[in-house]
Amino acid sequence: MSADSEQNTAAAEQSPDTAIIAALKRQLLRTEAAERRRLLRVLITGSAIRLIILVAFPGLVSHYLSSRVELSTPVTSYKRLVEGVHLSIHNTSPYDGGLFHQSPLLLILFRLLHVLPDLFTNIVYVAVDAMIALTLAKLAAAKADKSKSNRVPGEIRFVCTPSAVATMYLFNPLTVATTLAKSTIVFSHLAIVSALYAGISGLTNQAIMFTAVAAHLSLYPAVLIAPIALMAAVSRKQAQQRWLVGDIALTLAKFAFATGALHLLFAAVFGTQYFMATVDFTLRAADLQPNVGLFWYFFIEIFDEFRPFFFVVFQLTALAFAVPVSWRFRDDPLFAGTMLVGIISALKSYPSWGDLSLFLGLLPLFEELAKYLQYSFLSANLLMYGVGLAPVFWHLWIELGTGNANFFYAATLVYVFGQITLLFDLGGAKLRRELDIHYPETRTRTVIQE
Amino acid sequence: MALVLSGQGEKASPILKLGRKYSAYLAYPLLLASIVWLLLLPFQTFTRNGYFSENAMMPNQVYTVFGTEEHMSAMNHIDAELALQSTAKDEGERQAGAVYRAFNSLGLDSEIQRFAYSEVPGVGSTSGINVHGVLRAGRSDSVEALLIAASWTTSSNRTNINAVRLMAGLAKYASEQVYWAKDIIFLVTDGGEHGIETWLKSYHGGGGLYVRSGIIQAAVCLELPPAQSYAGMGLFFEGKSGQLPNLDLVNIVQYISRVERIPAYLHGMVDAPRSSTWLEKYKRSAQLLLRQVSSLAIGKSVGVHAPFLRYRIDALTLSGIVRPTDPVSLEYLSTGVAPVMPAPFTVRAIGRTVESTLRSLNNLLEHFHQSFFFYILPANERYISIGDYIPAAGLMVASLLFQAMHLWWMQGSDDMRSDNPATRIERINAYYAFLRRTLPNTIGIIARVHLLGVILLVTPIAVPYAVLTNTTSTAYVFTMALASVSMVLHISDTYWMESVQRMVDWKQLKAVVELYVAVVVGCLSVMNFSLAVALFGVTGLPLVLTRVWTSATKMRRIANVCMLLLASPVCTLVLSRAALGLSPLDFTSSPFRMFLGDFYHFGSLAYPLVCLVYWPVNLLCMIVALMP
Repeated sequence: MSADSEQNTAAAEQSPDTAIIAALKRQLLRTEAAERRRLLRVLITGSAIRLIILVAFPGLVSHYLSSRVELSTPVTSYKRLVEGVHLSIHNTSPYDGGLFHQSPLLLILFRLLHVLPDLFTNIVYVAVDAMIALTLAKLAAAKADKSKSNRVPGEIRFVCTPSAVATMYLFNPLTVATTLAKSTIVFSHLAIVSALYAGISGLTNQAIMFTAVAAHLSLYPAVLIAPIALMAAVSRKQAQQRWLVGDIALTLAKFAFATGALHLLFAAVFGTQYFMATVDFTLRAADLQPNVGLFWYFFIEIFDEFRPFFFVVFQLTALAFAVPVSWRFRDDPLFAGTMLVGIISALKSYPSWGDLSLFLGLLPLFEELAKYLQYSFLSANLLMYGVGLAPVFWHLWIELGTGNANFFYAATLVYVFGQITLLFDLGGAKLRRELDIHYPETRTRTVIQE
Repeated sequence: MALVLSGQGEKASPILKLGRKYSAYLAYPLLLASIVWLLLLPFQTFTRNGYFSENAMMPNQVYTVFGTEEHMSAMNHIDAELALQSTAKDEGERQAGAVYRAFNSLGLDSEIQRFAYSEVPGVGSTSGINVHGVLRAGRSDSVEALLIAASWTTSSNRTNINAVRLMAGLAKYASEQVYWAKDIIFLVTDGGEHGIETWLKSYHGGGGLYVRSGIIQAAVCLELPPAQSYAGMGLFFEGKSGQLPNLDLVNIVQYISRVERIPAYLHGMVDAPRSSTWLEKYKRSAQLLLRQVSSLAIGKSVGVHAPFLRYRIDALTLSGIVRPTDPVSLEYLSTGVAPVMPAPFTVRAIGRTVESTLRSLNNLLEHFHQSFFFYILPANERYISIGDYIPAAGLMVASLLFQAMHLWWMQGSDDMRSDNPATRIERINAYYAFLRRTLPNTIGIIARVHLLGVILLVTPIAVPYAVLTNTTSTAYVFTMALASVSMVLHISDTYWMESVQRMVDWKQLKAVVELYVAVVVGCLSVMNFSLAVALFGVTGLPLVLTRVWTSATKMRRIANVCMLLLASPVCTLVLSRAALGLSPLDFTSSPFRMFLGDFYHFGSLAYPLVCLVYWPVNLLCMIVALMP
């Protein structure tokens, strides 16, 4: 789509004829305007579809989708949120009773929405999704600007246009289902993409703030501070030609302060109960309600005395990739961030399809890697079967009673394996492409990694 | 596995090279293997002997006492009550009143439930009456219950008064005994499956039912058409979306009925005798399996047990087999008058079978869970478990996957597939540009065709009376068929034009459709194997077998399209009706309408699958066959 215009600009650089350049610039402006219109159309269509379904079929949403374990987990369930709001309105601590495990930030927002008609809640969810799509589109545009020089000689570059990125996020069935189920994970997603966008635009303080909010909403996005810190350092590095450890340390300190302040503030309001109900609840995987992750089945099976050891191991597996992945892809922190989003989605303690939808939404930003992917057939199939089998096995296990937990867990394994395959493949693709860029003479050779 | 995007550029591993070389040829052997697997299932060598898994049931360990004078007079009491109720304003009220009074006089807590239902959404409404009586167990406090049910008409549209009489007798028997640990519910309906469904919905919290008991653990439905005596009983157990009762229930009923000398045969089919040849045995087993599979695929069975399975109640139907020469049956068929009671020994045998079954179920310690829930039964007291038949579905899916892999690898022009590392970058560029150009169009075609399927799905539900009459429903189906054909022609015509010729590639379209069908068939096969096989037969099979060449001649295209028309939903609909001996063009009682009703009332999957998978995939196959 934008390939032609890019080639044109490239041609223009080679033949500095002012008239041609002026004509090309006009054309570029025209295509930009058209692109903006297209983006607007996508956002409006996507929002309209969601709003129509939410208003026209409230039964589908409240009875069917929002109670599906694949879509809402104990830490993102809308029903639990409503319960928490109800408790807090009646001057009881919402964290009493062990039902509500979400951030007080959501409580504040939804206490406001509670007094308004339902329509406003629907509008907020639709708007949040549209904002995520818009931010993804902006990320695509920003990335296209930054990586113009980053190309393999002889390669035709296709850059996914912002509107295409927004389309692929908004019209992904998993995204639509997540919004319709009113899972509160979308607020965390908004914070994540905002943080990435702020980071790539050089607005470090904003990025830190957004990451802190995302971490407060669902804990795991805290690992994104590593790529954010690198983004901050990258802009300085370009000026000074070396990595500044001080920059990274400063970002980390600011983040620690922001997160600590948020937690302390709410701990002061709600007491330590708040901390136990949110952070501790997520880390210890205390609720073993089935979901599409790896924790629940394992922790049901395990003897109690081994639980502390294994939750440390499981959580380390989810969190420990932050530093190595970020450092390996330090030249492209946005890519490191995307990888981390994918890792979180596969390995967190209460995952849902919504987590995957954000990862899949970020992927079109790296369209240049698509042709390097080796196992896309395998991972696409695994994800399709994982998503298709989960409701079937749930139906057999819970509704008919003819299956059992092993059925559903098998579907979960397929789903997680699909994500892991995709992650490995993506990392490998990135490395091979970097090799092609830095050592163009190897691009016609076979590379064997050992 | 890396057959997709990576194909172009990276050096392939030896396994990958082998895969690319042979994947083209793998699809057909796999397809053949799956068919052979299915054909092998009826062989006795591949089946296992049935057994009781739940030892607590202890079938046939009790003396049966049913059949005394009192029990017989309780059965006659129904006739007396029916005669007394002759002033009632309609037949339903008369029957319900009689049963209610009979149950009351036996000391059951009874209740009448009046309800209205529409067979297909938006089409009129029929009223029905349920009557049920609860016998309170002496040894527990109504936390669990067993259920015996009958509908006033059998599935062959005869009166089922014998079953109602037998229920009165059984109620009399049961009320005399002290050993019940579970309540026994006797339910009589005149609305068939809809009546049972309405009753179950009310019982499980839908409201409108006041006399209740505990969790229903098992249900036995009775169908006894008018006859002097029965040659045996038919045992039917298929539910709506592939649901089956636990195999233990089927086994104990078969075992008990054999001991009581009125054997319950699966689908009323007697096994081939021991002395017969293997071919005879094979044919008998194959026939029985085919009946089960078709019954599970379309969700229609004899009896009213199907709704119970949706509520986690293991249930089956016992249906009396009438001899063709039975005098009472012949008299009923010619005159239509209410028939006399069957011969006492028959009544006693059936009654004792139910009695012994109730005693066994009374022993149940927890919900049925020991034995299989997924099985097909090739002969009486033999079974094939899921592990033995699911590989057939796996092979079908694998056949689709391999052909899809091969087609995906072969798409685009030939020079994109060379191994020369020197041209790697050019190849990647060409390949990627090709995908960028064609993939959106392919997805677009699939989406457009599916939009038609969505319209097909929603219209009969959204527009009332759309399927009311013969004429409108026939017109509706044919309008949709016409719309489909014009859509196929339009889409294939668009891509015939020279200027846009390279905008799509039939190999890509076929590969994507195959992957999609593979996912649907794969996921469905674990839930409803029969439906998955049927779906594969009408979508996957034509998909694999059509458009297998690269350069199509006119004759081949015509042959393909004719074959696909033959496999199209409209054609199968007409043919299946003709095969059943019904008027092929009368759609008011067509499977289409039946599927719609089942989807609406019982959430069965046949209707959405026809609209969203079968119909669109058939059209996509035609588009593939017509593509340049």
